Amino acid sequence: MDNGTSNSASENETITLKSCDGIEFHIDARIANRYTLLNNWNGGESACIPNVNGKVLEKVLEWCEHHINDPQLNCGDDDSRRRNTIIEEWDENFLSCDQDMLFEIILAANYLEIKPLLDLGCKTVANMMKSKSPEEIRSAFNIDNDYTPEEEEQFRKENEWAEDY
Amino acid sequence: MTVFTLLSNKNNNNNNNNKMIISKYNQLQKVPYLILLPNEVLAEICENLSPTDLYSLASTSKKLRNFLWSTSTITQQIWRNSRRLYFPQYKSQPLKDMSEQKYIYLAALAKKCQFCDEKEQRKLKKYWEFQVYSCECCIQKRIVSHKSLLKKHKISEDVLSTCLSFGEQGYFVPDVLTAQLEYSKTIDKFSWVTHKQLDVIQQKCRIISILLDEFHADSILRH
Repeated sequence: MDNGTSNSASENETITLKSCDGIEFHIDARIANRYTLLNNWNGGESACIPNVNGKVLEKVLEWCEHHINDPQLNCGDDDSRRRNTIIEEWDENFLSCDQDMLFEIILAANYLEIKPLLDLGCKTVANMMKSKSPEEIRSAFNIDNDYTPEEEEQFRKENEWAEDY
Repeated sequence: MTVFTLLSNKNNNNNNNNKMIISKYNQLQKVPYLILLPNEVLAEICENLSPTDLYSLASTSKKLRNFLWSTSTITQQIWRNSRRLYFPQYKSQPLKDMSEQKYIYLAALAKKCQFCDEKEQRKLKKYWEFQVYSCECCIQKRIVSHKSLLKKHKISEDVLSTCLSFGEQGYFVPDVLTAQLEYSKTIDKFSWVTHKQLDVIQQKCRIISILLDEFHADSILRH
């Protein structure tokens, strides 16, 4: 069994994941195999996810389970990944949560290297700012305008051509 | 403090800073996640936006402006992908020493004269040679003919050969002044001029390539 730990997990095999706040999840071992989810997983029956709490990990795993039979994406297939801006209905519902959860999912997906979920989260955030004015984006994402009028002026001088765009 | 550990995970320099910011915002229940994201995640989000949306996003705060106005590889990549996706007619690369931000601005986003704010479309024109979007009136004030530069302004033929001209009309004054200044400071004038002349040829090729892109796009529209 040379490459047994990486590819050959069968349907009934489960492993246990533990979130940073100690909540345990029993998941299909294929999920762990599919994503580099568990860098420190040595093929044993359980693993710790030190940076993700139970609430977020539960959501992330729910997504992984739903997408367990999706075809694997080619890593080099960057273009096709980006050009596909359509979000499936299930995914859309899955991510219609509050902003805290949405960003926590994105950060967890980034940390756990679950690329398709990261993409999905980023697309969702991007859709929230499309065709919006800077002021609308600020209020949608709780951003303070931290520019003083002098700094605005300075910027305009340096970038005359882009003034007031 | 999960969010904190994730945010700081690949961004160790800002650990303490971010920790303070997040705990401050957590009390207020309004975390500006967007500006606290690590740059690689921010880049992923930006990859989905049009150049216009990128401009709006860049105007929201210092962090986003610094990120989106940067000439770093990661930022240039974002703008390049956005251009290719939303303005696919512009296949050519930007001019030499021109950022992707300025390229797409001049190519597709500019709506008014950069000198006088004139907005009437038919009076406006882009001058790739000078990297300027301007009305006829303002550009005329800034162009001086070859002859007058030589005779009246005593600019040498050498210096002019390193500048781009707009057809027979002449040269863009700020360009000539910059070239003149550089020329006067250079010791090995011959090799400076030769080097700059090659740049001019290369720049002309790139301009032709952009003009061809625009020509193709126009002819498709007409049919």
